[in-house]
Amino acid sequence: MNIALIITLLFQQISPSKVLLSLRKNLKYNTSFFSAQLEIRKGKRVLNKSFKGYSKGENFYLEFTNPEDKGVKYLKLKGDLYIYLPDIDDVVRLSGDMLKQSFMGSDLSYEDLMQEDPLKYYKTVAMRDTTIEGRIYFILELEDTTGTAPYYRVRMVVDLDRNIWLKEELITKSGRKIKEVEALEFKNIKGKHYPTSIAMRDLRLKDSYTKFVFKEVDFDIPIPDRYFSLSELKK
Amino acid sequence: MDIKKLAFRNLLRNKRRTLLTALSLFVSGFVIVALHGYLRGTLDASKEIIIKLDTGHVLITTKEYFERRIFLPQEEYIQDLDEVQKILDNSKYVDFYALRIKAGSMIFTKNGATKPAYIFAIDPQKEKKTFDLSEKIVEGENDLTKGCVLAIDLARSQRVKPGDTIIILSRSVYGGLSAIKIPISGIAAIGYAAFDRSLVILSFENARKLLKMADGAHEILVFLKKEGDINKFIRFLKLPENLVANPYTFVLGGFAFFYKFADIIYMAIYILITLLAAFAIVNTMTVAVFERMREIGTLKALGMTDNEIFLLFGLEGTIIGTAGGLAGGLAGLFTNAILHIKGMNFESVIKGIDFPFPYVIRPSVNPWILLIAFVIVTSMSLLASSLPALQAKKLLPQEALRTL
Repeated sequence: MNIALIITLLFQQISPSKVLLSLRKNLKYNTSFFSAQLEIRKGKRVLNKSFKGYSKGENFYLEFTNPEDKGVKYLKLKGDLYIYLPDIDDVVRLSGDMLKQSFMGSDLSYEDLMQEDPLKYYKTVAMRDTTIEGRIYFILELEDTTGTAPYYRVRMVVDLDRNIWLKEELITKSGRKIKEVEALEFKNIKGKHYPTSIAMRDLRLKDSYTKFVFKEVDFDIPIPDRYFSLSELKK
Repeated sequence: MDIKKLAFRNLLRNKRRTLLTALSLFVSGFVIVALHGYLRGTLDASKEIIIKLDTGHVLITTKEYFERRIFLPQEEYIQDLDEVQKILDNSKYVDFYALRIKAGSMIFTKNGATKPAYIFAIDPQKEKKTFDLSEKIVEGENDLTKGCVLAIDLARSQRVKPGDTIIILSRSVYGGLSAIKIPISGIAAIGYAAFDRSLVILSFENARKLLKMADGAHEILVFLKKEGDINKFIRFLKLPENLVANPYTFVLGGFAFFYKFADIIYMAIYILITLLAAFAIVNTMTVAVFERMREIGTLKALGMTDNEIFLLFGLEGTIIGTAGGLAGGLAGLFTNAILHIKGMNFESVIKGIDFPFPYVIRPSVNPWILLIAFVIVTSMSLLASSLPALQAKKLLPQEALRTL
């Protein structure tokens, strides 16, 4: 497969930008439904959470179902993030620096969560191949071209065979690696490989680790627009 | 020959020269005492803020909380307070202790404004000695059972007043988001920039509700009867395994180094000032020797010995140093005493600084520093006047008389 892939690449003269584009295409969908579990490790402490939700275009809705956070709901609507908190039976809008904070204590930030197409900011500045456990993968170095990306540089290990990334390193402009993301498991859903288990580590935090496991995922299913409204969030 | 009488007469003979030399020593005595009072007052006030509000003499926390204390890890709290409180109640070293619940948060006001805030839960009744909330209230009241108290700059920036309701959003001890809706019962001027910009004071009950803690606290600040007993207290303290007790000097880390470093820098400043004063004495006395060549020649011709000449000039310098230094030191001490009572308000300068300095600084009034300044200035004057005195001693009568 590896040799075949290299030959294909050579003959097709596949460019790094095309690799990036095909990765983005693979992760693109119109609507989605998901239910997931979240395992957050902070030193010796382990927190388990679960949530379910759906998305349409850039908007998404998710609701926590574990007992400690039951009823906490998130709605991303036209670039804004709203949270319904059952304790106060009210909705608050997160903005500014708050978006850089941790999502429910995990290694993911609200800003990360809000990225509909996280690779849209970048262009490929380098690509090279590498062998991991006898298989050839490609390492892509991406750099922010817009000045608005949450991370200036992204280094990712890509499996061109399945059009997926296996590992990402999120790096600041000064060259400091601040997050590591690893796709642990994949599922073929409607012809696309989708990561169903993702591990994330915020390297700025000591002994911190978060694992997302998607129990149910489905794409491009009909979801009514009314699900994405503030009135629905308060219900 | 009475050298002392002669020295006094010489000093009075050229009053302007004597006055100018004494003035430079007055200034150095004044600066040493006043500067010491101001700097000591500043450092002590800064240390007092830290000890009273942040660390106590000894800080008890869980091990994990202490390791990540700057990040306010709300989930790492002391769950079994009773056990620790029993230990502290039975300790002969403990004067009192204060519980603290701390958390990072975000406040939302009715006009849609949001702002990061620092949650600080205290028991106002038990903290009269450390954090007397009633003294700091500028609007409304300090009743935490009725609502929260907001720091003055935070309240102003959010345009809220007592009676308004705010939403406080934070992370619960389970890592998720949680919030409370609470009325503002009062506005407080804490007198320390970082707190005035961000503090929200809650009762333990409301803080526990916000963080979803059943009981417990993040920190126990222990105040000892004598600060010098910190190490003894920690040595004999038997805490549950997951808890640690740290002296404030260790908790402060970089700040503790800053205080030590500041002491060294200030000592260097005192020495520099004294050297400058000494230079003035050398200068004045050397000029005096040259001006009084004829006099030295005459005195030597009349039979005054070299040692008597040395003593005369040395004594003149020492008398000026003693008088100038003592007067300057006394003036410095008096100035410090007045400023200590009145207080020096640096609010406009300090407001933008996060370093724990109070707005109002009161110079310390320490009579011992007067003695130290007096000894420094007098001994420096003695040393400084010795150089021209040696010069005068070496002169031959005929050489001195030839300079006519």
